[in-house]
Amino acid sequence: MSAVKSLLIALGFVGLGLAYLWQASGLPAARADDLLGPATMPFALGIALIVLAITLGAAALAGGAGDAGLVPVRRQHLVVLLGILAYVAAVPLAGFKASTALFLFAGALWGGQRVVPAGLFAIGMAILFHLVFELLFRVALPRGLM
Amino acid sequence: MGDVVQGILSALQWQTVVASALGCALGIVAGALPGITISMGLVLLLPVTFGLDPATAMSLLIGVYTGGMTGGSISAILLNIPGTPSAVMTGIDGHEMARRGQAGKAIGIAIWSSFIGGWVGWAALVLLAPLLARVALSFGAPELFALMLLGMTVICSFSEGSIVKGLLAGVVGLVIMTVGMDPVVGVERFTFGQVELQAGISFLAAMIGLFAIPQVILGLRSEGPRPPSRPPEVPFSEMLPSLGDLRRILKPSLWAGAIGTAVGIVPGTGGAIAAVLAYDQARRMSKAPQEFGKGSPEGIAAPEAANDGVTGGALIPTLTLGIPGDPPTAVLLGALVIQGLYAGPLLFERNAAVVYGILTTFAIAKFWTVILTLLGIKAFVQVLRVPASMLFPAVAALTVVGSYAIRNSVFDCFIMAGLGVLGYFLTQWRFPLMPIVLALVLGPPLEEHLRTSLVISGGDVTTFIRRPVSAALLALAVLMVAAQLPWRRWARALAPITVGSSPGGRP
Amino acid sequence: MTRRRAMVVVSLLTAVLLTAAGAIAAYPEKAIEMIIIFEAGGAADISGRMLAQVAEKSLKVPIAPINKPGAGGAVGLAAIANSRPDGYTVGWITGSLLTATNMGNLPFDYQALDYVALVNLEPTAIAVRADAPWASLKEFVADARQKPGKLRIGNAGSGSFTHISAAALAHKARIEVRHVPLGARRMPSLLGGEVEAVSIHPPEIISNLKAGKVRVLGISFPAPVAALKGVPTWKDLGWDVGFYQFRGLAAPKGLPEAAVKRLEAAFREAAQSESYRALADETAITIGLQDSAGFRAFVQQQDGLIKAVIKELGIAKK
Repeated sequence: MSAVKSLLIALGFVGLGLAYLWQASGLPAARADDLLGPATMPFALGIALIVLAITLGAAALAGGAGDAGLVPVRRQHLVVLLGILAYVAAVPLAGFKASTALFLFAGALWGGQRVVPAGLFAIGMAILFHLVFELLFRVALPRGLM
Repeated sequence: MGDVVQGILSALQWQTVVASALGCALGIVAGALPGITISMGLVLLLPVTFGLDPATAMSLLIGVYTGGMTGGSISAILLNIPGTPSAVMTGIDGHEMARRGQAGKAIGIAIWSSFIGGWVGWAALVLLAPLLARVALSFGAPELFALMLLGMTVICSFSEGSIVKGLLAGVVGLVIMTVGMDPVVGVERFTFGQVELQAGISFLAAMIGLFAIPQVILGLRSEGPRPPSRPPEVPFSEMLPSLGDLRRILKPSLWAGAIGTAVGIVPGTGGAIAAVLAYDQARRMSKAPQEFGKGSPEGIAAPEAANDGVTGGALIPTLTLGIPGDPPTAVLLGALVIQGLYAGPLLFERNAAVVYGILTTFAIAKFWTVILTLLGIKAFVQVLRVPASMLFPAVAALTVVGSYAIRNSVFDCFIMAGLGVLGYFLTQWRFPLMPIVLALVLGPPLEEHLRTSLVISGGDVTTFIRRPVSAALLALAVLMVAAQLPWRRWARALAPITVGSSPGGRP
Repeated sequence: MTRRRAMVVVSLLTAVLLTAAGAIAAYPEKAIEMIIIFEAGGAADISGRMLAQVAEKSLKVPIAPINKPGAGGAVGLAAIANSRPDGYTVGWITGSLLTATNMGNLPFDYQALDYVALVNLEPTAIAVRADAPWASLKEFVADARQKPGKLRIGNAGSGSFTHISAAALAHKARIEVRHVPLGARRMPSLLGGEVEAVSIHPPEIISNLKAGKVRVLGISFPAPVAALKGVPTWKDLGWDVGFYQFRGLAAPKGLPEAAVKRLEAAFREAAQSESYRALADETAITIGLQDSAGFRAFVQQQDGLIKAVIKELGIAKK
């Protein structure tokens, strides 16, 4: 089971390497005054990526090879991950303050807090962020489209 | 002589000393907040300095610079988010120690090692500045390339478990950093037509995502890398490092301070690179290298001493040549110009009082940093008493605001989140994350200096071995890699073949 | 009944019109964001911040400087061009606008912006070490002709203003030199002997110039600062490239006329303030004030020159 998964991961990296090389193939070649040019480093990295990924896959096939084993990706992890992505996506739309307060509220609830403390926490933190980042350090936090 | 005394006295006036304390306090806060760099803290105060006399103005700004370097370690230790680039290595052992409930001790070690390393830099600045400035000029592109390569060899030692996975992670980091405008001819690489990607991936945003997001994901329902229950209330005295700890970190801190100073002198480097090199050196010298990565006091001390060594080192070319050693000193240089003072050889001749004022104020700032951070320890560690259900959402929000603040870019928030997702999956797949971070720090200057060297030499590759400093650094890099190869295992694997192929070998 | 209703409508309409007129007259009524296209703490950043600090006094609203650095200014320029032209987002821009757009790094040209006020002009200088064998730019050029492709001139980065300036100068003087992108490492590289000369703006060399560590062989136009008095211009030597680095206030296209006038007045006044003049003196930049129309005409003329040079050099992206 773990070996199959390791193999799939290795294949994923091979695919990444191929895609990277394909993208790099359009880069201009080296010129006389720039011996390596923009393409050499990406080509070397793409090849290294593929070679290392194949080695990893071979080791997985051979059986472990000192691999500590994979930790399963859990569904509750994915929920948090999607929550964070939704939060980041909301920042340019709803502005930093509103999306942060909402995220903090939802996050605290998900983490096991009750509604009232979660709400107070969300509002309190949003105010703290405003005070520290906007007033003290003059960061113009995104205001959103509103 | 009169100038020297006058300078020292100007730094000891009450308003100068108070300005230093204020600067340190602001620097510590700016350093501790991810995304707020020391340079940003300095720029914020620039308008304030317009109306001040040179001694007070510089005292304020140097306080920020000194305080910021130490402040960066606080968030690295408590939350495993480096507050400044220089604190990138501090979290490895610092956060590990904090997880064991010894956050106070970890911060204490960071404070004292910063203090020790800072004095190494200060001594170099006071005693050897003009001499060392000349050395700095002998560091051209080939030497910088060799230095970055030396840093890259450290990747191997972060690849416990599987060297292939470590190297793969390193290559992934380098791949990430090739996005953007090519450093030599300005061609766009992997930008997909996005103007924002032309500027490249902000390594600070990437780092915040890689470190913090996996923690939030794993920690929110508290099965993650955090003590399962609230840490018990400990008396203040137990939060501080013991005398034994201090004795243990003294030698590595002095070494790291020297490494930091040396790196700081070279324009175009900075605290992050110094911290990487110092960490590796400390492990090499340590009597307990197996503890590194698992909460070793030396592992906290080395990077912290190094980045404070950088402050003294970076001020050397700044003051003697008028060339900033790192980004914050560039702002300090600007502040001097606003005061009508030109750093450089003339400053020592014509404004010796100002120079000695700066040196004194720099020393005062070190004391303030220790005092303020020690006073704050008790408050800092309270962060870890916040329940997971509140701490981790707050950390996530901090990553968003931090990645945004670096260049006022929402795009950087997306980059941060994307790398956070990558970091999570790589963690679950048991890939080490440190090689990626090292590649993020060292990759862009590595390629830039490699190619610039060749442009300067006109395509002559022997430039790297013909220049003595570059040759020595490259040889060191080769040795470092050679020392880490599993020679013994290979010898064992080869032994039967050798024996078999030479039957006459044994009578 | 209907008359009363009509009166209500009329008075309402009047009220609306009055508030609308009031809204325009009242500009600015909230904080203005000023995008700075380079890192916090650099020469362009400091001058922009200082100007904003003075200007906000007469505008009576705060001006918040926001640094959007990256890709030689391209990121910040795109942010300015893409923001709402309501007068509450403006940009502190430099000649990088013309190099970035003409090099093909941005999907628009100078016409994507409205121009408020030109504030500074900066010469580009060719500087060498004090002990360099060339007494003048003429000698440097003659030497470069002797050994084509051997002499090296450091610049701030490929496609940067200093790169294009040096390349244009070399083109005019019909010499072949190697352009080395060194960024912030130009001064240590010059002093350390990695390059023979650098193409640089005066603020970055002024301290070493005063200390006698470097010499300036020629500048792209006469500088008024004492330290550069008497240095020949490229034009004097017969190699006029005709374009200069500049700094000024711009805004996204479509800025209301009232806002242009108000900002222009405030920034012109700020540029003539004593504190700003002192800063300009210290950092060796020239105050070269132009109003909105003058700035636009200047940019248009400069754009033509830079476009032609980049085309001749053949260094733009496809």
